[in-house]
Amino acid sequence: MRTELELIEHIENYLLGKLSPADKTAFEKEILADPKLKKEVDMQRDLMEGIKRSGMTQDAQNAYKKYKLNKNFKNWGLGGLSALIIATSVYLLAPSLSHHSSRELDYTLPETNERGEKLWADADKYLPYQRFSIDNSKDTILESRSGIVFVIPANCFKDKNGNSGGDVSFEVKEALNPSDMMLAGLSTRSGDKQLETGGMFYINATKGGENLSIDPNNGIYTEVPTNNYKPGMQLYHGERTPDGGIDWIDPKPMEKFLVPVNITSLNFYPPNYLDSLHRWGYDVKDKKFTDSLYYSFASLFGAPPTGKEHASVQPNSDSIEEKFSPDTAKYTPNGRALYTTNCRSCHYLDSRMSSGPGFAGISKRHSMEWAVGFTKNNIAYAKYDKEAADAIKLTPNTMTVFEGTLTPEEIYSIVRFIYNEPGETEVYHPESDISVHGINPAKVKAIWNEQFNNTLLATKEFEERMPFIHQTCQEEILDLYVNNLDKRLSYIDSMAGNMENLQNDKFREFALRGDGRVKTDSKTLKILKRYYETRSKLYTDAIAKTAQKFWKEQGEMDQKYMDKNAEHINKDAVRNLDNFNKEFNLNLKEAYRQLGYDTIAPIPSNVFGGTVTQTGWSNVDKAVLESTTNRSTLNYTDPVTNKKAIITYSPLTVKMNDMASFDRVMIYLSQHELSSFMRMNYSNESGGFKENLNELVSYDLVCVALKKDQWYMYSQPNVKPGMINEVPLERIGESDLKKKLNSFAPKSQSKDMQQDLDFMKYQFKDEKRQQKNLERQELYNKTLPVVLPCMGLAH
Amino acid sequence: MSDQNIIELLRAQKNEKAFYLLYKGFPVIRKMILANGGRKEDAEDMYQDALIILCKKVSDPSFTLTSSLATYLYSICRFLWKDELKKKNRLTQFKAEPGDDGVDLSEEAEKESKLKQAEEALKSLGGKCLELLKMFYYEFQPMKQIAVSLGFSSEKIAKNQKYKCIERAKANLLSMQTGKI
Repeated sequence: MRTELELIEHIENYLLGKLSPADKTAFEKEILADPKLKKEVDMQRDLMEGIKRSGMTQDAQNAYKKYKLNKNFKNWGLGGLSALIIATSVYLLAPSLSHHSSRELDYTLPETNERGEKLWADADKYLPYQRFSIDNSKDTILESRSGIVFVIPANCFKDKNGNSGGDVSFEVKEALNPSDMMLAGLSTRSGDKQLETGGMFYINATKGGENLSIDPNNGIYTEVPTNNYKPGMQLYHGERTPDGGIDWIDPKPMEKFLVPVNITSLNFYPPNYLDSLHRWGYDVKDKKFTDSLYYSFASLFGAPPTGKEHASVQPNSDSIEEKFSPDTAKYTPNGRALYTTNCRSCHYLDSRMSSGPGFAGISKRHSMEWAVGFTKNNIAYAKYDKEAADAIKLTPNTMTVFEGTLTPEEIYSIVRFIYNEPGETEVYHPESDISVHGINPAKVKAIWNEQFNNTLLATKEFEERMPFIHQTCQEEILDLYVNNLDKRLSYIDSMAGNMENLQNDKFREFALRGDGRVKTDSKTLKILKRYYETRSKLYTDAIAKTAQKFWKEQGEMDQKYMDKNAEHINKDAVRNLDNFNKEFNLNLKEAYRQLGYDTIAPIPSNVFGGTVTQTGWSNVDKAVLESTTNRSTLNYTDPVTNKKAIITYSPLTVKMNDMASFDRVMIYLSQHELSSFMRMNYSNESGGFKENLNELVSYDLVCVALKKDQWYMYSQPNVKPGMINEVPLERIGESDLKKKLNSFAPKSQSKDMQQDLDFMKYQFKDEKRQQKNLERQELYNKTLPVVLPCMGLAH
Repeated sequence: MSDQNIIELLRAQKNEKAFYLLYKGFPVIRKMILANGGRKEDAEDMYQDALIILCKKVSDPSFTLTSSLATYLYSICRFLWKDELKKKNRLTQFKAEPGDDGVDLSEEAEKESKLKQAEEALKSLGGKCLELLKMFYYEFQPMKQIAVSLGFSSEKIAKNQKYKCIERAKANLLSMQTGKI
């Protein structure tokens, strides 16, 4: 058995008390000492208890099923499943469990019935009375033996003088199961028709022996219990017939009052929204996040663009700038359009190869600033940049040099566009008409707040409709509900069912339920209507502006990044060139010295890995050039004098085992004789930073690393070739770091190094920002089809 | 069936029968919950949770009942429902009654919600695992018998399977607790 399973067995034995006292004590010691082990034990204990609980849950569920089955004949039902909330004080009378069987059953009938007639049906005779004594000056809720609930409002009973209130005797007879009904001779007949009954009951109220009547404007709300709700049930009135039976007449539809809840506790999101976010690993309990993401899509419903281009769906910084640029006279380049004109002929946005490679996945292959440089002048770039040199080799075709044809801003905008576009097929064509087709989240935001509490929007019943309203993609349907808050929900359902939309059938189904209303006064309704209209518009505009502002700022920061990068590359290039020149001169001088030449040929300037055009001692120069370029040992023999010039380069390898734990690592060699520094490059084959050291130069090794915001440093003066296996980095504050760098070298050199490090820090931070934006874009793109499923479809 | 009978049934682990008798008190509690901002489903859930808490309380030999079982169940339900509303920020819908503060089941309620989470972690294990675990930990059947009922070829294999089920359940529980799925 695996060790993991053995541990589980051991824990089980411990939890079940099966360990010997010695083992138990030993194990408890272990648990105390090892928090991980403690967690395992706790979890297993919880699971054991959880298993027992699920056993009990099962028992409870079985018991409930049995109870429902045996409960008196509840498979036919009337409506009315929610309680009416009473504002004033309430009496709750309920039969107690233990007195269930010992109640005295009263069958005695008075002389006249509730109408003052001497007519009694069999039902009256054979069903016992249940009598309740109530104070009618207060609201009362009471429940009959079989569970019928009567909600008796204050002063609903009136005597023959029109007075109400006071102590009233309320009597009930009921027949909810077939045996009672048969006993009572009750039929489920209305004239000639057979009825399906949910139960029958009789009520009457008397005061001082006198029959009372019920105020027609202030009736008794009644709830008959059922386990199966059936729509279409109505309330019939019973007329006694001379043969002792009861005829059922005058059906009235039953209204189910809705219970308003706190609207912020409901879910008005589009269907699958929260599920999708959950699946992608986001915290769906963070309402701020889920709200702000959902509402951000309202920007799509904003004002139409002032420029020629249609709104693209993504908040692409180009189109946003163009849409909302306050100074429309200023030319802001449209990356998409420029790409289409200049690049599309050779480069697809997906992975297909054309004259040049497709751009799909480009961000993984090249950085944005590389792309800018390459686009500007790919040929020149390839001369000194290996990445560019490789890129050129991808096809035999020659790529256009755009420097001079396109401005830097234009090139930047093209590169930005390419890096933000997901691929050819997902590009939204600016020429096609994309009408925004869906429910504006700003409208949902307008209703999803406390203003609309105590309206029919703040009900679980309305919450059930919302997913379907979303799926119609038609705002008119949502407007229907919001503009008819005084109507019964079922009425609005049928209106929605009759309107042409994608969910007609579902709304008709809802209408059949007969859901009622929530009482709201008309003044409030007027206010709410106006609120809804104005708020939706305000939100849409505000959200659009915020999105625009955000992406504009991001665009500016992107620009800054590219500029800084370009600057950095330039600096690097300049420094490399400078280093090269200096080293070349040093080597050449030494070589000449070794070969015994006193005069020194004019040193070629600005040699850059190119061809040597000097005559004379060009052989030596060439050898030295090669050796300097390759940083390899010079071993030259003068064919005339047989003298040798030897300049040795020996490798220095610096390894760092925990490199991965840092965000950035830079290793510099400060070169005394050349008054400059060089960066060591990382080589995969040697698994460390490698560089060949020139024997003529003395180097100081400076290692700098960055972890989040903390700098680390290690330095070794006069480093010699060989292997350094571990770099003991030490934490250092930023100002101390700068001081130390100053102590290394002449001011200019340390300043350069500092700038290099500053840039490194900035780059690291900004790349995080860019990553975040990318994720933001991705999330937006992923969520769009969930939130607005009808986008892009023909109207 | 008197309260005493029901208590005896619970203590004898005859839960289903005891619960069936106790469901007679459900309508009152359902009305109460409906009147306090809940729905039918809420009432069913609350009642189920309350029955379980009652069962655990009764099984503690030091527990003495100071009122009728019905009243005690009622107060358990009121506490649980109030707690539930508190969590959902709907406490305004709860109408106070005298005697509400007399019962404090916060400790039990917290333990129960922890166990409910464990129940969730177990649910995703699938039928055979659940059956196996239930037989061993809830019905206290011997491994030999379980192996036969579930069709394992030997007691050892059944035992191994049991530990694998627990291992999986632990992984589920851990991922639920750390919020990653």
